[in-house]
Amino acid sequence: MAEITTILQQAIFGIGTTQHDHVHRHNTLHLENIEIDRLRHEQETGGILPRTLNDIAMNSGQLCAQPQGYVSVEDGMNMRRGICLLKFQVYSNASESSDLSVVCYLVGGNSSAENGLDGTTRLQPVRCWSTLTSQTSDSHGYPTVRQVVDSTHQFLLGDPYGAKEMAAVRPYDVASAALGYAVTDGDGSANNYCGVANSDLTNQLLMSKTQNLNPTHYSKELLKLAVQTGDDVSQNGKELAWAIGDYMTTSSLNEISPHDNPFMQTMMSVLSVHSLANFRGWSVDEMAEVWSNFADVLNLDNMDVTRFAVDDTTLTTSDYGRVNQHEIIASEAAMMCVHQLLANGLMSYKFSSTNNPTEFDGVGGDEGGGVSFSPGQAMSVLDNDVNMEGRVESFNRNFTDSFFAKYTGPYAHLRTLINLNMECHMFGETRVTISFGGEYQNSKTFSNATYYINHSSSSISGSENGLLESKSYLQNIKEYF
Amino acid sequence: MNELNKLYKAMLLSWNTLVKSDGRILLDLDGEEYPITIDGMNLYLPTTDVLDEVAVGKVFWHPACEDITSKETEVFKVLRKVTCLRLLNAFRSIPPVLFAVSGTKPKNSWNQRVLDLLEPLKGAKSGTVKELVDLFGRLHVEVEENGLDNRFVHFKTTKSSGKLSKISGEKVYYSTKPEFPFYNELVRRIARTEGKTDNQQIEINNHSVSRAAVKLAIHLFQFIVPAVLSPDDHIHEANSPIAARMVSYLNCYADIAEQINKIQGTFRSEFAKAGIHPISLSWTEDLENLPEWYKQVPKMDYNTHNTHEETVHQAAGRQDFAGLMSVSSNVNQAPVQQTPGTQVQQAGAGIDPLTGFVITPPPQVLASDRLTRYECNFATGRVTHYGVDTLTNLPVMYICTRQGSFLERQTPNPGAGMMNMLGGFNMGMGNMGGGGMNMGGMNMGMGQPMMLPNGMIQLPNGQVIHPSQLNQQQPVMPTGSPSVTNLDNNSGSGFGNSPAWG
Repeated sequence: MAEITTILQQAIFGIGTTQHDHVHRHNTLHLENIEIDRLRHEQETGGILPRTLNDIAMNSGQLCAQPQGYVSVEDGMNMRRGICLLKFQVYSNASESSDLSVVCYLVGGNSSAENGLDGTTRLQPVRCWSTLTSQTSDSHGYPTVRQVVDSTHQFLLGDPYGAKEMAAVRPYDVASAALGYAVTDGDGSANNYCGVANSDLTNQLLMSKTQNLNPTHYSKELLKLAVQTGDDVSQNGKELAWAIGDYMTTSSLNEISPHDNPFMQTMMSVLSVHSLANFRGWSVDEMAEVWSNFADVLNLDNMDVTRFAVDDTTLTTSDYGRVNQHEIIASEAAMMCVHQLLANGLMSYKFSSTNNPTEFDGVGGDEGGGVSFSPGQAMSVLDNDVNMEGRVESFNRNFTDSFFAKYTGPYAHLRTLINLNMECHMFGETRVTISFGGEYQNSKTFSNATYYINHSSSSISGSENGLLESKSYLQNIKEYF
Repeated sequence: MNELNKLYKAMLLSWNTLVKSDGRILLDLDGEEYPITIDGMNLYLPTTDVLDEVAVGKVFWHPACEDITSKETEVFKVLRKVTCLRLLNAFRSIPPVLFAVSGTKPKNSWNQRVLDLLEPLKGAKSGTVKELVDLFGRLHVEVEENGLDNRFVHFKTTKSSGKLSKISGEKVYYSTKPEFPFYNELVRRIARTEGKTDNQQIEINNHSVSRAAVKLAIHLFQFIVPAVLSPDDHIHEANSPIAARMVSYLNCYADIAEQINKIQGTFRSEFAKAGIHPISLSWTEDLENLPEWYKQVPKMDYNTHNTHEETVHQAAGRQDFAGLMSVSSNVNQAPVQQTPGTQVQQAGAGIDPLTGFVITPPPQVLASDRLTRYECNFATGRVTHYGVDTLTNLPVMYICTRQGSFLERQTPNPGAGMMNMLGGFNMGMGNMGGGGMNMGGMNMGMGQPMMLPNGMIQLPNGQVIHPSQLNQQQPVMPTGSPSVTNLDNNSGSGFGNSPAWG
């Protein structure tokens, strides 16, 4: 890594509302048995087409229906939680600079708008994204500035009380589990194989691409892995372990380490912290020690509870923990929204959308993909962004492709009609109101505190089972083909 | 309640289970209720009402959503148990009624088949009947802990991945074939003792009964479940990839249940008086609707994919063969008649050229075991194969007859195992402590040789030697697992539950 300079520019503090307990729901890959037949058929007749793979991946990735236990965070969810947004400028060379934003939630101490921050209050990193600003010239040769969002990550943390054994289930983890299995299977010790230490969240901090919040991405990666390695083994005669190992280095699967993150890296090097084992956040004192201008850029205005009307989420939204369409699909939409907002450079966005053709005049009113959006207020991650409309448009398009596409088909029997009303804040929570088949009277509202996404992410399995299941899935599908 | 749940409920109720108002599924045996749990969580019927309750910490009954690539899921294992238990209970309840019927005056309506069935029962001695009850009492749903296979019925499911059926010509995704391990064992034993008197005691899986009782048991098996005679005619195939394993399994189950029901139909009033009712099978016709219905409940944990490794299950499955002191059932070896005196030995592969003993390793070797060498012992007339259990790194012995028939598998007792592991551990410590230790020191580092009550000395590697040999011993390299090749003939006493170990 090149020498980098990281400068703290802003530290904005705010406060969330009380929440219902959240539940763990992780990404799963569920192939219809018919689809497996189709894959098999294609493989026997010359190889699986990428198009088929995409098709199947789109339909087969989903959140697991059954919740896998409650998410545990420090002091529980039923409290108003302080959150903070840190903005850094990261310089690595002259022509480019990038802005790094990190969202954290606060734990402990006596921090408030009146009294200021308590030195013992700790900041738990939740997610981060960076925008790249580069100096280029336009087609006429005039110098111009381009800004793009170039990385979006979330942090993954285990149970803060160390009571539950949780594992990360990013595609990378499933691949490592399968790799471990392939290796131990080769020398006959597979019975003793008990999983990958790298995926274990009980004692470490991991990072995950926000793309992993998209179940379709997850299923596509796993299918690609299965098919690619299967081909390598059967056609090129490679050892399975080698084939998986080779595939794991591809960029679409690989994950970065927290040590690569400029914020974490600076904190660790200045404070001489060399291990993230038992990481429980950075305290305000530590922050002030590392960033000497911390007190100057501090903004506690939004932490003042008297400035806002009381909005108790527990009274206005449904609780989690059941198995019904509303909850499963609302959770999926909320996770997806977090990723798509960041990927498209939006800080917050309020919209309603539906794939019910009777509500937008059928094909005539279709904006593409059989889905209609009514956009509301939106906010960019960049200051003075001139391209807001473009960002909203691309959000709508991407959200349609990754979320609505699998619920929308050309004919009535292929559709699940969904009405969504969403309000999503990167620096706050995501609220989803969902109803099916035009039954507004049966709509349900869920509030997803996405500032806990480091604990509640769909890339975390509430039990070892999730990873085991994915692992045996890969192994089974390999044997089946 | 949707159609799928109605089907689930009907099948569950026909298997002696109860579905409580909160959806909880319990096993009901003679009025006693037993919870069914998977990983400590109760099993529930996934009705809409139940799903709308808090679903954390519950397992739902949705076997129809099993993925075609999966191995047996945790829920399917429950399905297997409850169905086999139902069949076993039905089967066990029948002989007492038949004995009662056989004592009464024959009715005109009885045909020759019925008379043939009852004839042997009529003349049965009370002692034999008691033995028979004991024998059937040993029937079990699963392979037992010690590896004995007393299963009444086992449904063997085979994945066929859409190959064309040899029977119907249609695509087949799964096929299920019934197996009757206990019946097979009876037949095998009776064939082995051909020509002996009825009083002759026969050993059936470590339980000895008279030949007369075994003959009667075989008779009852053949009349109550005719499928035992030709299991191959009762293979059921699933032609749709959806819930393929379950559909083929349940159709096969229904086939066997139907046969048990039939005998009850023959003596309807007698069975009704005894309070025994046929197994309800009315729901089986709904199985063909599963491809339409299975999506009425979303895919559930423990139902779609196996979470635990199948290997555990497989090892147990093989152990049952290992536990059998059998010779004739395996494919690799021709049945060997153990007629003393005549030793027809053909030299060839698998025969020790020096001794003439058959030394082909026993086919019942557990998957985890690696055999390293064998040894022929003239004194006992046994061939002993030595090997290592790769799971535990402990030595194992397979003892066979001189004809190569497998007798038993022995492992060291747990105490010895612990000792060995400690030995390995100490070794590592010793190495770290002082790099310059001599070989003798290393030997000590491995743990102290232990004096046994019989005056012999036991080394940490499991070897038992005379004290005078102690100084001549070659140091054993620290492999962590004791090297079996150092075992001499007598060290066999180190295995099993030999009292020498104290």
